[in-house]
Amino acid sequence: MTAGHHQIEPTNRGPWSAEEFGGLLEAAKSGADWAWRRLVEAYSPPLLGYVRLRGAVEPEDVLSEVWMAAATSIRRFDGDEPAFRSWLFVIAHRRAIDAGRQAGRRPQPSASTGFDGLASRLAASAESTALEVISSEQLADLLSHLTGDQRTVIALRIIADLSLEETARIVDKRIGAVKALQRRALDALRQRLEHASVSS
Amino acid sequence: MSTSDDYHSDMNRTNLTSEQAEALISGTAPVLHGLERLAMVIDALRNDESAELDEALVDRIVRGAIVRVSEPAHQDPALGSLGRGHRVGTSVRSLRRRITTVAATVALLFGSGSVVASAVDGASPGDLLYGIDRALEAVGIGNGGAAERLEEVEQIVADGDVVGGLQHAAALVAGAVDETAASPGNQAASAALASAAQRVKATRSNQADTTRTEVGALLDYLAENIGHVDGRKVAELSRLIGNEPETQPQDRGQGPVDPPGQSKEGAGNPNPGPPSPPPARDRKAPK
Repeated sequence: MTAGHHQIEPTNRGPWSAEEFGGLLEAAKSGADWAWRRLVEAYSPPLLGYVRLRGAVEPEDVLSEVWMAAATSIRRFDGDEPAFRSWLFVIAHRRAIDAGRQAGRRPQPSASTGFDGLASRLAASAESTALEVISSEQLADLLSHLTGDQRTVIALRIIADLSLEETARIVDKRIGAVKALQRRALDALRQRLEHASVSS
Repeated sequence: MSTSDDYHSDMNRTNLTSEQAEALISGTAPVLHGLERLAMVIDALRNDESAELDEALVDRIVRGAIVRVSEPAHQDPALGSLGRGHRVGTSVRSLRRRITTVAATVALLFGSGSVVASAVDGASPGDLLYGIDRALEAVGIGNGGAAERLEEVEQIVADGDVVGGLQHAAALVAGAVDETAASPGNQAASAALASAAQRVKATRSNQADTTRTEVGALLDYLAENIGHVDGRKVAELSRLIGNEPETQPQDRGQGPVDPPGQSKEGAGNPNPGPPSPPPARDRKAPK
């Protein structure tokens, strides 16, 4: 843990029962500081991960915009916790597209991420956790080789932990289309890993 | 499940199936031999953003959110939200449909539609422009390539939803093949595909071998001609699907046809409208 960072209390991040979430939502709608703090702490990590992998140049700024948009509309939100999560990622999806177009470029693979050594570290990491051998930069590098649609679907399915149905709704595609995108994405990642293995 | 070296080699050579991909993502099945490294990457991705946030950033967001939530609403409340669990009534759907039509018209006026897209793509759920934004993306402006969208069509058909595949193909031809989507040929082809989808639905021939063969021929043509699709050829192949008689109005070349997305709701359709969304799944509360 680095200095200046805040360790989130597990109880603050849930899991929440339906009743707890209902109370939290109503309190947030009325502007309660504690409620907003819990929501922001609970959902910001995956939101930040999502906008980062969408290639946002200033992901913290995009995260702030997502929450401001949510605060503006939350009084009209009516749903349970999964619906709220999905709703937040709909907003994040739109803001990430906006930020990407403002930046005027797609995320490019970084040459400084040390990706070439990743495959060999993975091969030797049977007793380690994935996070001990793969950095955030390397993950971003891997995903930067996917198409925009593939990257979006993978980020929504894995980082946002959304279902096929929710992902399809956010990207406005049929479930079969999302299945095709995620299959192609994983195949592309696997080929990338194999290529790195051969060349390292 | 095999763990032999032969199987390992096979997994390294062949593409993943949709089921294998879904199992890897959802973590609902043991990782197949040969996919361990990919599974580790997925695991790292899932846990990448640990519970570490800049405290000052959290404070800033919370303060800003409290100010925003206390401001009077300034957006059209009728549009509401678009996600699961949100109430979107019939009148709102009708409004969104009209917005879609307006967006398509404006996109035609502006050619590729990129000007329109840039104007509205910052919209968020609840914004008036949000429906236009989604409509633009639905026809493929600025998001996704034709080859990828064709594979989506193939996957949808492979999943048994021939009608959905044809409707997706209609959108593909109308907007995602290239930026000359407004050409009469592509519009006619798109309408023919939508009409074929309607026939398959009406005749309940979704799973008939002949229907799937005919759809396969159409997809083969599209795959071989991405970027330079002949609208008349697509219309010709589409007419074969569902055995439409040769005397149908659409047979007159690139003549008047229903725009995609409208013909499927026309008279005689016994089951108009999109399928209902699936029920909400159970999911753990935030991590």
